[in-house]
Amino acid sequence: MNRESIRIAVIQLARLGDTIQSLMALRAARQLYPELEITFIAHESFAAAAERCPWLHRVVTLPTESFVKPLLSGKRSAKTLIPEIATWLEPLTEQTFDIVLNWTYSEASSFLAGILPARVRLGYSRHRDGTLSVKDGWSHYIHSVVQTETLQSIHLTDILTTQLLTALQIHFDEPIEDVENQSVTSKGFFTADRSAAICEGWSHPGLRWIAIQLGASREDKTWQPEQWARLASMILRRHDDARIILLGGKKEKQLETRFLAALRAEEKAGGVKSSLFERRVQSKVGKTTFELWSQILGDAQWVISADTAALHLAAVLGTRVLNVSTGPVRFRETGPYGNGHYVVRGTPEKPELSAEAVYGVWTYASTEWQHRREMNLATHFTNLDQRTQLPDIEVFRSKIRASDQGGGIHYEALIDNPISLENWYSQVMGHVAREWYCGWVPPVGQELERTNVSPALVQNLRKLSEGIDVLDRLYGEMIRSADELVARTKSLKSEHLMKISDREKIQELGNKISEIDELCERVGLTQDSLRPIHRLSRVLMHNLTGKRISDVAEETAEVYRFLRIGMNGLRNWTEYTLTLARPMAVTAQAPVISLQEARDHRSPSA
Amino acid sequence: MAKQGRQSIEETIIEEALSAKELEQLLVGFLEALEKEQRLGILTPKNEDEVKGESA
Repeated sequence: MNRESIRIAVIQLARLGDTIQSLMALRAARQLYPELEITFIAHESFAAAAERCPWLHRVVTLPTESFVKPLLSGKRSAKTLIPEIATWLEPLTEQTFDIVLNWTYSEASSFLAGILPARVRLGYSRHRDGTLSVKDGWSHYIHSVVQTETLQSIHLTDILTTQLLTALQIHFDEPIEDVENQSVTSKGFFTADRSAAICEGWSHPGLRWIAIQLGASREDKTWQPEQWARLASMILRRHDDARIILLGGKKEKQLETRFLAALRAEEKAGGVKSSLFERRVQSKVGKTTFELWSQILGDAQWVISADTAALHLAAVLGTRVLNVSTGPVRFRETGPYGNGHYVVRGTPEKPELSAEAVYGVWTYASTEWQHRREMNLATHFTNLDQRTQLPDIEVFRSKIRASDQGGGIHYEALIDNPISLENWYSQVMGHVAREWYCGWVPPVGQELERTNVSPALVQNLRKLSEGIDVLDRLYGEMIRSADELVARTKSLKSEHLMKISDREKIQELGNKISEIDELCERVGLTQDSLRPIHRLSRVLMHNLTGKRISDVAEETAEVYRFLRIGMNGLRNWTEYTLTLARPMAVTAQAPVISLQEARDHRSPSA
Repeated sequence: MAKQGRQSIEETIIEEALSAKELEQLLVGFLEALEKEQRLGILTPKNEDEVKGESA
């Protein structure tokens, strides 16, 4: 059956990691809607990945430097650059797009989204008068939750995919049925020239190549080269078949120097006379093109990396990733996408990660085929004589949920740490968001275990429960008042000429709504866990479109009904968790890692 | 599933093309915001190597 093509423009002006996540979402959408004709608008520095996706109809690069440099130097004003930018834009404005999809979620991109002619706009855009326009639900969520300090548990790739697929279903057609089990991630994701010889031994069937991406986008997300060297030394010392390949850009040469010096020191300390380790390490730091970099990441058995674009690139190419997550990283949103990737982090109390801990996780992950995950991580660490590491780390394994479980990626905790209020809340927000925007309600308490509930969490939830009750009552009052205002104003022939009694009543209701609004503001700001829903209320109210009082009142009632769905989800989770925490008879079950047990194993010097 | 999520989508149909003045205003807004993002280092590469293997 021939389906009419759907022309979409995707604006992705952010970094390479975001670009790759967008490409994954688009690939998934295109498998379900082969009629998508995608124009991808990318930052000139990050277009390489998109340019190697033959299923994109067109890639347009934004020459940012040539526009911004004259502005930064003060040589030109924005107004005088209009002819140049208009020339660049011209091919993009020749036809109306069916969908303009702004996945950059930035200020600049919102103007571009407002300029491109479109039937449907998703993401941040601009009204004709230049004011910000955020129309679709997922963008409200990104605005009020994802781009704030609040943690939430839905991966960005899932948000983007769901946002696009929902719009396609609503505005166009159902997806095709014969998808033939195509996988989104694959070695052939990009069409690129392959280098014949990466380095000596690269294609040797008896060798395992582990790629280490040195560095990260920021200093506080960087694992120090000395730690990488210690990890490499452990791997090389204990696994004869292992080889290491170092990756990084030209500006990361000093990390490479520090790594190699530290590796030599490790050799010396270990009594290794010749440079045995160094011969098993290849460095491509500062020497890779995009093609070579992606070939290495795609061919390696493992990629070990902090929060970098390499992690996304490896995941999209189907290579297993161990993400050494350091610093302020929201791995649930931006961690490696796919099945069987691992994330290791320090704990909030002890954020530094040791090489021993990372080595323990890597050996556990890389021998899964042997132990079939029947052995737990604690036993593995005990076998390595590293059990004392466990209280100081958090380990997660990625898993794509079955569609009857709501789909999307979930990072399953492999150590039974008590859950903090912040992390509990991130799970709840994920649940609530799916209920809001997917029209699908996952079971309350999904992926929450009794053993995760600590007395501190119970205490926090009791307090939260009171706040929920108050705010929910206020929302209910707001809905009643707005509904009354609709009833009063709907029957009016004019909003300017009316009986004095009607005017007084409308005035009274208006004042009441203002008062409730102020109270909502006050209560919504009292607790961190109430803030996201309160922030969402502001975003939704800012984006009301009604011109008449009755329309605005009707939309207001709708907004608060919508928010109440969230409050209800929050209440259900709170009650469920408090019930879970009640004492109950314990039956024998599969062994779990007891932190106390692990702590008892600490040596006196630890 | 998605049909029930209908409330999450708002459709905007541009009935008329932007006027020259509106377009100019949006273009100026775009350029100024790009400049600001570049100045603050938001969403922009820290160096030109990033695409060739930099760890960003």
